[in-house]
Amino acid sequence: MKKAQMKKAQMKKRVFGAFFVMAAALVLGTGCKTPKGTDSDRQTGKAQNRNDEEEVVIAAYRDAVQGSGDAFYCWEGAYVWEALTANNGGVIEPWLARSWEHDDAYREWIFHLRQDAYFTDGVQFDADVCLENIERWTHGIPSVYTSLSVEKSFPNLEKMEKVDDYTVKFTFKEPVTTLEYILSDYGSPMFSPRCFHKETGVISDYAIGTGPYKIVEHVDSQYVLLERNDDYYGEPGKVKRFRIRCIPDAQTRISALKAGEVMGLADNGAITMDAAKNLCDTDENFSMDSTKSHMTEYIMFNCSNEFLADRRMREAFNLATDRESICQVLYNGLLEPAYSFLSPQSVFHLDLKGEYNMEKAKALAKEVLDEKLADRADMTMIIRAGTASDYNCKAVAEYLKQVYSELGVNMDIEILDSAVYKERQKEGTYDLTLTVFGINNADPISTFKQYFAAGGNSNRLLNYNYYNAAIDELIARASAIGDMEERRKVYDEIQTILFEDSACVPICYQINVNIHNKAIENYAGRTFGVGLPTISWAE
Amino acid sequence: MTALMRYLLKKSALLLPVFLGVSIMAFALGVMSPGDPVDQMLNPNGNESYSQEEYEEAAARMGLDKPICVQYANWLNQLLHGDLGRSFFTNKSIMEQLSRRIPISARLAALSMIFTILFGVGFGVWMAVYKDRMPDHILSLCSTTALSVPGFWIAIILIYWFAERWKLLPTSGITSPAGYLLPSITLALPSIGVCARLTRSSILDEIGRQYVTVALSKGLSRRQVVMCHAFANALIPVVTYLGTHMAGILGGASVVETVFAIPGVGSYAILAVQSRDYYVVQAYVLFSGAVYVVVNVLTDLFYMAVDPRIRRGGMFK
Repeated sequence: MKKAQMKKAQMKKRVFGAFFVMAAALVLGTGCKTPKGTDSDRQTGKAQNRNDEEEVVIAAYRDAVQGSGDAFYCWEGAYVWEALTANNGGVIEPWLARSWEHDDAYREWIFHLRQDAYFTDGVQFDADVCLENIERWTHGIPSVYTSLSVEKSFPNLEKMEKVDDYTVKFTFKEPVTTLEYILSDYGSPMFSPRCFHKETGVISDYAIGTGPYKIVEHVDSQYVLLERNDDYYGEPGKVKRFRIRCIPDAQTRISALKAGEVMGLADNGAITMDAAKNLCDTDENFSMDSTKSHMTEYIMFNCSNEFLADRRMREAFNLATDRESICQVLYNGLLEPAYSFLSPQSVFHLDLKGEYNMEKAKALAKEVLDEKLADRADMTMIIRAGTASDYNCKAVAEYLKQVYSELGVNMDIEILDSAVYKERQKEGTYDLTLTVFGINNADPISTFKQYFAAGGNSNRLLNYNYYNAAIDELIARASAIGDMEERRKVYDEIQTILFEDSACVPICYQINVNIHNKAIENYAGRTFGVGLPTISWAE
Repeated sequence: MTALMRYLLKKSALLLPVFLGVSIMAFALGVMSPGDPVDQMLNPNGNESYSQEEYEEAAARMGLDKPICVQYANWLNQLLHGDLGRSFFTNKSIMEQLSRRIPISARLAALSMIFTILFGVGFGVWMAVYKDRMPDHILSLCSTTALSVPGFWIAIILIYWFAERWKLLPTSGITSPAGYLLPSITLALPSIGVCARLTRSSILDEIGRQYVTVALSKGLSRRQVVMCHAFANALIPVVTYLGTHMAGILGGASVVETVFAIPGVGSYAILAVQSRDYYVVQAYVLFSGAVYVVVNVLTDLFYMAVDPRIRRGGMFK
């Protein structure tokens, strides 16, 4: 009996010993080996003998492919689908439409389509396909990028018709003066009719476009594999395959870049300016390239606040905001100070120059406070958490809190989760918000309306509550003007009034930071992401 | 009918009110949380404008124009038909997403569990065997450190050393099995600490009992007594802890999944909460509730397997 017990105990001892051996083996065996698929051996940051058949991996904070449920299926930066026109830094260029014309009343528009564009499934892009795609937009398929509807892209459309195989005509009930702007990029995505259901408009499998790349594999929330479209009508992409990985966490994206798992970061906010500059300064394997963005950082006021309803108080904020210092110190000299509402990326940008004058600001603020019989004013500035982290807005807000304190304003900063932020805006329980946004499309009329017209949706719903009769009148006048030069004059006037009335405080014009490993070159930013077709392995 | 069968039937009967309660909680949490899903869908970037008509149309399409009770009834009806609905934000089927993500979280949970059992229980036994000696002191210090360090910090450190510096493991993603290693170690480390301390104290509790004194007086070594007699009896509190640990990870290790870009249940929940995706949040709460219930039943069954006193007496009567 005792012998059996001893044997049993010995057995357990062996099991106990094996226990640790197994644990060690598990760690060493499964863990400490080069992971498959990451190609870490070649992605060391040093140029080796590579050819463009080799895959380039880049990372984005979100999945580049949203999938069948999304109206656009994938991000424009994947270079899979193309639109009728393209907005290239504020200039509208032909894309799948090679030219267009309109009548004097801006009610009839004719688009001449490319005759050499084919979808990657072999279907040719022509007038029928174009109209079929526009029909698809009537199904109200949602999107995480922006909404897609016939009413949005073709406001007050009366009819659309095929003129010939490569010409389409759109007739409107009301004049549409800037259709080519509205249709740019996300305004008119074109997919092969074979890839979506006619009844629902939903893309059934992978999206098929006419772009320089096609989707060959997608693993939801992990990566998308893109392959060069060798039959592309334009300049084909240099690299045969791109893998765009989804890495939601900012720090992990940077680690992946440093580890050589990814060659570059793409998409807005993929890396903050500080982090990018720091990485480039400390590691010679990386290079940073910045491209101008249409995004601008603003302070927007809740004009229902008794102090902020007064133009002098808003002007005091404007004068006390030292944009030069903010750009130099907080943004490492990478950004430009902003005074005009429209960024230089808009063709309608008016170059205005303001001043930093603390003494004048203090005097104006004192006047307002004295009139209201107040020593100081308590105000709350709200910031969306995502904006705070992506654009370094937290540091700007903290700096402004100190500066505005000298105006007699006790400013409380609240950084809020997106939904709570929107809720607070809707309730109007805030006084100022530090925010970053861009214009909705290349024609700024809708943006002016949205933010500054008395009935503008954002002005009303987000409680900016800004009112200026002259702005309302100019917006109404601009909407009826067809001639672009005439329209420009009105837009100049609007920007000047917004500046003089301190309707908001533009702080700086943002840039897109593109960081990449020097093992690849021509990694240049575009309006949406980076230009994949031009990227190549470095010599 | 055996005691076990009776117990299982009783537990199954209790599941219905539990699930109903969880579903009400899940629905209420979604509705009560701040933010407007209609606005979130129409204006995901906070920079788009929409009219009141568009808002009302979208609300009607999403079924959010109806009274809360009707919304709940509709949701429950869908649920009973095996349909968790579609995400407001991405328009993807929630059931499909969960079926794709649950195995990923389950793999992560399983690996983390293996590490916890191997090292947590192993170290605990070792500490008990070498009580008040050097191994005990060293492991006590290590386990206290492990359980005190926050998960995200462990993640950052592991990524830095194993991926950035030594390039041994991927920073993120699960394109290869090695992708599971760092996240599972991150999840396991604090629980190894807890488990080791729990195992040690449980075994030492058992060692103070009479049957151990008898075994020792019969000439068995301390190690033999621990391994052959005290260990099985000391397992009950450890198993209870491991059960809740497993359920916690299966129900979504949100931070770790987000940091390591693992498309599991936890990262799905985080995205849903950020975008006020009611249906997804509700499905997630329901799922985690179900996981806890099932894991509790399995833990009870395990008690029975390791402790004959429970099998014969208390729990299954």
